[in-house]
Amino acid sequence: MINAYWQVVKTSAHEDAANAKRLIAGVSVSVIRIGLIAAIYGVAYRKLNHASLPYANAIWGIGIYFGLILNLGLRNVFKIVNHEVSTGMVEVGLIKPLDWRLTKVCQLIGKNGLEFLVGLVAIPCALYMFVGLPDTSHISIVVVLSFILLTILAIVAAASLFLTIGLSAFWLNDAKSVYRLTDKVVLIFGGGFVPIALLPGVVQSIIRYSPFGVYAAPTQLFNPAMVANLPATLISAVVWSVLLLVFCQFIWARVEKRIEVNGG
Amino acid sequence: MKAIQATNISKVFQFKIHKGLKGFLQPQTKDIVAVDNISLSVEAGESVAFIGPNGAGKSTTIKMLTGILQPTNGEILVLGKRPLQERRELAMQIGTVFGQRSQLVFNLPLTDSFELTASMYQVPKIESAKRIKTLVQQFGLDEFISQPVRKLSLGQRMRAEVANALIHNPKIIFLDEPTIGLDIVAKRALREVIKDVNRTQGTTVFLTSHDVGDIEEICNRTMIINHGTVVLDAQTDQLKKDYLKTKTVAVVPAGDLPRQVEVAGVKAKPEAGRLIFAVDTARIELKTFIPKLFEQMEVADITIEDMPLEDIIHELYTKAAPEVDYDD
Repeated sequence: MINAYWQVVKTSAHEDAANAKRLIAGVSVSVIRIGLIAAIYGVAYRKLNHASLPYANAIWGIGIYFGLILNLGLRNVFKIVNHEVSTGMVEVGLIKPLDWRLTKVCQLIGKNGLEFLVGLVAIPCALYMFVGLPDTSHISIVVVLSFILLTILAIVAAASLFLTIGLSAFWLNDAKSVYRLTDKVVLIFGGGFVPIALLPGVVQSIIRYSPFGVYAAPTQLFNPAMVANLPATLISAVVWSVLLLVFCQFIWARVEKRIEVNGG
Repeated sequence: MKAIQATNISKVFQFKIHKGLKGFLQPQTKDIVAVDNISLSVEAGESVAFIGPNGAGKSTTIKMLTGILQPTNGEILVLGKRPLQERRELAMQIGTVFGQRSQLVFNLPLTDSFELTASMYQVPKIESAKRIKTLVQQFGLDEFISQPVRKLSLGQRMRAEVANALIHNPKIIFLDEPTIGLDIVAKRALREVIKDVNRTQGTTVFLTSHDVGDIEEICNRTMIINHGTVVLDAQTDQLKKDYLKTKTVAVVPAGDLPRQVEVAGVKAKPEAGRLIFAVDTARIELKTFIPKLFEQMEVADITIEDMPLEDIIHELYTKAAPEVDYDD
């Protein structure tokens, strides 16, 4: 079965590879966005000195968030699911011998995979050009391995959360409003706009042990203060990823009983 | 061996009467009975037309048989499996084509779709290559096999959809309005290949359609459903004898449209510049009627059509319902 899902990824990548303009535009937007954030933070750092988080590290943290989490585009699984539910296309997926939800995730990975890989090279290059290298004195092999695990958990959690929001279209017909709200909350508390390290201590603690902490965790690689909290962050990320997966499965079980498709 | 066995299945959809805040405060629902306690049984290798007007319940039935929808009541066994509970196992043994929903990869050549399907159904590489080659030949796809799906005509795409659904050599193929929107040439080509698959490979065909031609040319058995109930289940040959005996002959006269015309005892009805003859072929065969018509008047154009399916269903529903003939 893994071969079948891999074929879905490959076919989706092949379908999107023809669209070179989209790839160039997508990576360019990411680089420009990071440039703008670097400029805004540059102004903020000149006025307020955040000794706990050096400027370059703050920008690298946000850059990694864009490069790893946003460019993979797993939140867009919502759009596919919402579209297929509202148009009735879901029935085509349900007659296949594969899990429909996982197929949609694989399609997205295939679709965004190339942009993700190009971004993995282009974004660090852009970050280096904009702000130079970050302070990496706190980074050890354990931190790197933990960071990789946290990134995988963030991907699982993002896929589960946005799939669940997409599935809510079975009740709402169109779940865009739920998506918009959740997406913005995740961006804000996931460190997409403001590095977590710059938020008040209480807010940081809440985020760390909330589902948002799972998304925020990959942005913390360049935050020297994260080392002390690493075990707790890892445990919290595992717990929330599992809970979101279980919740997605629970909603899916409810959906299966109430599927109504066009026609008849 | 039974390919499909459905016993007393019903599907009731619930709709909220009020929407928004009123719906929240007064959560009243209305039941719509899409399928009402039907039973059906299909033997392996049969080709069955499951027809009915819009909203009759035919697509809902197909969706219950394929495991997409959960029946409100009743039991279904398809190839011995319960469709909803064993959906993925069943999916490995059935093929499905929805005329209005494509299963092909839109921006890639057909070969990519076929390879993806083969992989999904775990067809070994060597076997899938052979199978794809056979289907390409059988369905006449070689001319456009390397074109992106989006560039195919509807007829080409539908042939490709059916071929795609057969890659894993399913035991049953469910076809939901496969000829919808096709021109007559494309319809004929598609009907031929479906018939061929049923005849040569013994694949059970379960087809819904609004087109009498699909039923006549592909299916040896016809079930008619209306308002969620099976109103007739008969051999297609028998149905043709009983219900398709009236042909509509529409004639455009070369000169002025006469007010009253009667040919071989059949009175014409003037309609939109044409004369419409409803010819009962049990009383007079077309091969006798047409020459008499040409003897009597000069004809600029002529078309011969079956009685519309809607009319047949209407006739069946109003006349034949008491004589329902269930096979099982």
